[in-house]
Amino acid sequence: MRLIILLTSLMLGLLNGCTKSTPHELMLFDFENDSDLDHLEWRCHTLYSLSSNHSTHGSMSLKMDLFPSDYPGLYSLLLVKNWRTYNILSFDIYNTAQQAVQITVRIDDQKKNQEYADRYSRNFMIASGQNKITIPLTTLLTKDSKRHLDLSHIHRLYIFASHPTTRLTLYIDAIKLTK
Amino acid sequence: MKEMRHNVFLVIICFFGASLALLVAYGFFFEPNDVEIHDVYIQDDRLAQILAGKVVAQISDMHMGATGRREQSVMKILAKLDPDIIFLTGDYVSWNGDYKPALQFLSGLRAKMGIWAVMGDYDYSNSRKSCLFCHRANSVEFTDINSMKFLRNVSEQIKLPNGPLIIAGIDNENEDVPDIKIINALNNSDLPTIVLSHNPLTFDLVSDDARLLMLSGDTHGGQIPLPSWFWRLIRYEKNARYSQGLFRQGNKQMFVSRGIGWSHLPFRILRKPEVAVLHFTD
Repeated sequence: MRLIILLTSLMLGLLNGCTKSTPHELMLFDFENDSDLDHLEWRCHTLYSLSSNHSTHGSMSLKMDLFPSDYPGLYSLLLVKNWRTYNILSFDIYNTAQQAVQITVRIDDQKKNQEYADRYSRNFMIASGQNKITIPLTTLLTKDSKRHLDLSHIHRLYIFASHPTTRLTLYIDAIKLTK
Repeated sequence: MKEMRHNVFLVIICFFGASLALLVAYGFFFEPNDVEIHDVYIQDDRLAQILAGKVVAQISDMHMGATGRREQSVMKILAKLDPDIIFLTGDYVSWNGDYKPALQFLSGLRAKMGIWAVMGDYDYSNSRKSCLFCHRANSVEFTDINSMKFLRNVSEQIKLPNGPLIIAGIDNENEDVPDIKIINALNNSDLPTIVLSHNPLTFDLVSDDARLLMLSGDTHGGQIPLPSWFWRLIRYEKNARYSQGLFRQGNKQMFVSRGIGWSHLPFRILRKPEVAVLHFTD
């Protein structure tokens, strides 16, 4: 009897070790620390700063001032590239303009710069004020719809405006993955 | 007799050992700081008409960690040259290093007609700090600590007494994706044109019919003389093809500077750091 209990405990222990649990939610960016700004690609025509306005997680958010140019926006350097165990990508975005603005979310699953047809790219209309964007990871198809993104190797997450003609100010917070 | 042979063998070994030690010491301690003026003669009647008699200097690949002997030598050379124009072709900082010494150095540069610059891949190793070349910290306001113009996939026309000159800069932020719009504009340029591109492989993207001069760096001349096949083996195509010096293909020309600093190893042999002085002839 003791032997059976011992073996069962051992089996359960091994099983637990094999199915390493992952948290229900993984915060990619919450923009609480200045060091978060080091994990963004700084490019011309976008100014990043931390702000206490329009925060939805913690006390700070990312303020983005986008100036008229081709594609100003958030270009992130992802620390977590394996998204396989999650189901949803979401983030909160606040539009300070009176009218809605269109943003594009681009996700690449290869390190090399991917062709437009071979990457995820989807437009969202952002109404004036607070918005929540939710993207089920099962919908991450390439633009030509030929394949699903490889969720174990996500290399880039870009959130940008296309050819804005006036200065835009957007606040982003809580970019996260959830199960 | 046997003892004598043994002694001769020992002397030879010692001689080669000492020579090697001297060469290594030279490569580490002397040559990397021995900045020279490299006079480069470029045959181009259109550029000669506009720039003849002007002192045009090119500086590249400073890779500064701190201001030392090498940087002081560059400043002394420039003070002596009193240049009309300075072109800077990128890599002012060490990889992800401190940007302050480079910013300080650049703020001390002076040229009578202007300074134009592009950034290299090392300058983007910390993209947040790279903004400091053009902007005040955490601001969209332009910096006033240096007087140079950074060209990021743009060109501008300057008016000189003998005619207009186009100066273009190809950015090196994303080496895989050069900006095709600026390349197309250069291919169709009718005016005398000088293009700054940190990466010399950009030369291949420009049409052979384009009459322009490209100024590049990035290779450091290899820092030591090595054959092309070796560079190819370690996948340094830029060094295999355009290690240093002047290249011509069709109408287009390119000068690749050995630069000032070093990367990977503080070592140079037969590849002295240089301030290039460009002379234009008919």
